[in-house]
Amino acid sequence: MRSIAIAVLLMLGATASLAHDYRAGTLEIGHPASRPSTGRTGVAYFAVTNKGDAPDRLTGIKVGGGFADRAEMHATMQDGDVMRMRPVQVIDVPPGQTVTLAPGGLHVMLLGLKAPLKAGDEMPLTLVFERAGAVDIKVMVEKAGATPGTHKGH
Amino acid sequence: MRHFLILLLWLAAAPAWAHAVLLDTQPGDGMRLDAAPAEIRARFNEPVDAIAVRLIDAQGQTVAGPAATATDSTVTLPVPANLSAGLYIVSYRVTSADSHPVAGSVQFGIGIGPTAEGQAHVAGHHDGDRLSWVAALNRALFYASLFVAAGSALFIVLVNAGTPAGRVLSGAAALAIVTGAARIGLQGLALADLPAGALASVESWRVGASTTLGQSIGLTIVGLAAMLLGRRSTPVVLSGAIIAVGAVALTGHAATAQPRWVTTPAIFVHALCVAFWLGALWPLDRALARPDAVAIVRRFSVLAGVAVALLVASGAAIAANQVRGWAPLVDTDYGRTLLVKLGLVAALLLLAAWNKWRLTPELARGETTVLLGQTPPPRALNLHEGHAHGAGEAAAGIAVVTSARDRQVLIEIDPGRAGRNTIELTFSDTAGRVVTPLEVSLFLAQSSAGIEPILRQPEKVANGRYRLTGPELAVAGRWLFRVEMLVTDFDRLVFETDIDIKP
Repeated sequence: MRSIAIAVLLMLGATASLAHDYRAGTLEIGHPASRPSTGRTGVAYFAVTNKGDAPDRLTGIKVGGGFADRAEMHATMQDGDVMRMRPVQVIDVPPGQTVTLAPGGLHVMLLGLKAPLKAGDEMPLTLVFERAGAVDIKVMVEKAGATPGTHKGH
Repeated sequence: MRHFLILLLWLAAAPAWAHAVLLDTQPGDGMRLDAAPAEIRARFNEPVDAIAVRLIDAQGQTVAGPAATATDSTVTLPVPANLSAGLYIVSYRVTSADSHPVAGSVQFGIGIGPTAEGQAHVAGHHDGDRLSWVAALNRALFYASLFVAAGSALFIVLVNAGTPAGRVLSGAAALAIVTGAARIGLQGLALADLPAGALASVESWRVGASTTLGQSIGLTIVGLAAMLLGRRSTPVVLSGAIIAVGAVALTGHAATAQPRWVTTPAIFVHALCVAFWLGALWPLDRALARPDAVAIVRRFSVLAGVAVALLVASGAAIAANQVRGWAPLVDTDYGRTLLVKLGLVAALLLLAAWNKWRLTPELARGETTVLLGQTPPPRALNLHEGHAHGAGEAAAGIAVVTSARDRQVLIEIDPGRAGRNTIELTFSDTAGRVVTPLEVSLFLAQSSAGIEPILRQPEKVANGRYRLTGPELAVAGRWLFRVEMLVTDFDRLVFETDIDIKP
């Protein structure tokens, strides 16, 4: 009985992550994902592809349902052992480009989490684009070993 | 080999460069004026028509006044009499004979100083960094050989009373002629924004020769040639040397700064004294072997004392006019270079004092030889070196990330308000690993205020990290940032984004 329940949960989880792409106008948001957190700060990753001819830009991220105080976009720059991180207000999505928020590079910081994130949790976020407007997405917390945001074949 | 191939390619393509090139403006880019100019003049390398030439104030408003007129290759914009203190942008769009539009902006300040150096000119190709090293080395060689040639001639005439001849003098004069001529071509390349291969084209030399630098070096070469050809005649050599060195006062930031009746004579005196002091090294060394060495050194000592006094006085006048106040000494490149130079000069003066009080008496007793140090002037020292800064992280200001292909650039602007800003560019791949471009150019334009692109070359401060501090973002509103990154010799990536600058 318990093993069936686990199998069903796993399947649900798999279906959820397979269906995890969003469209808004000419933008495609691919595979929003997060990782389990130990403290009150979490991360979120996704990829945005602009299939149109006009540039768009991500200008903000809102936290849905109050699971965290706020979300910030951050850029990380690594030069050898030196790593620098700073909040950014705008991430451009030029036409024809895929901009990937992934471990090591651009990412979303979730600040003031009400509870640590566990694998399987789902968090509602609203991405605000200058042209495409607000896009609601759900971010799935994956196991620590997964490489979110960088699925092949998108 | 690869560069040789590029050179060949460019040689083939060279005749295609025929657009108008901005040679200089009055007032110059980045210049600080004490009072409003009566008019603004922009000189191009060929006849142009003025399409839109505007004077824009720090609020982004076009200053009302008569329209610009073009006479041959010069565009003149009359300036209203009651122009107040502040920063101004001259935005120009002209067409040349081939009707190709050329646009750009330059900045100047009345009462306050935009300290950004360098010429703003229009978009194009450039071999900036590598070329600037060649140019810097060539410039150092030019000044060294000019000062040795002219200075040793001055020494021999004034101190030694012998006939100025000899291989070192002739060799130095010849080297100064060759490197001086090369400077004209390199200046043309830099101004016209041509690739290195175009050095073989007439265009780069024509552009270079039409600048004040070209005219100044032309006069220097005339003086040096007179020294070489008339080396048996003392008056010819003396006047040749004075002309060759004095011509330095006809060009450059410091010499052409206002008020010119102070700066030009100050540079003239300064250059002559430097030449005399430095150029004395070799003949002084030679003179030591002679039986009348003590008398010669004593004569030199008296003249050197006068030269050093004049050197310090004229140097102080030039520096006071350039720097104005103490803060720019540490927070501008010019100021820092000046401090390094003053340190070298102080060390040299100590050495000279030691020489005078200790060694000269010893020399009189026939015990030792005399050595003089050398210090180049700041313009010979002034390589575009990066200044390391702390890694302190400030989250202030604006930060925008934009991508092109598999590269992205983080643009940070501090404080992100109209006026003086520090713009920092960090280049990385999509995984956030820093990548270092071969070359970086930044174009800043504000179409709603009618500001045509201002071109700047940010300074490298770390791997993949470039910085520009200056008053370019003078007005509030949406600015276009266009960043060009040279990935390889053949691969250029262009990033474009709009950034809102707050009032």
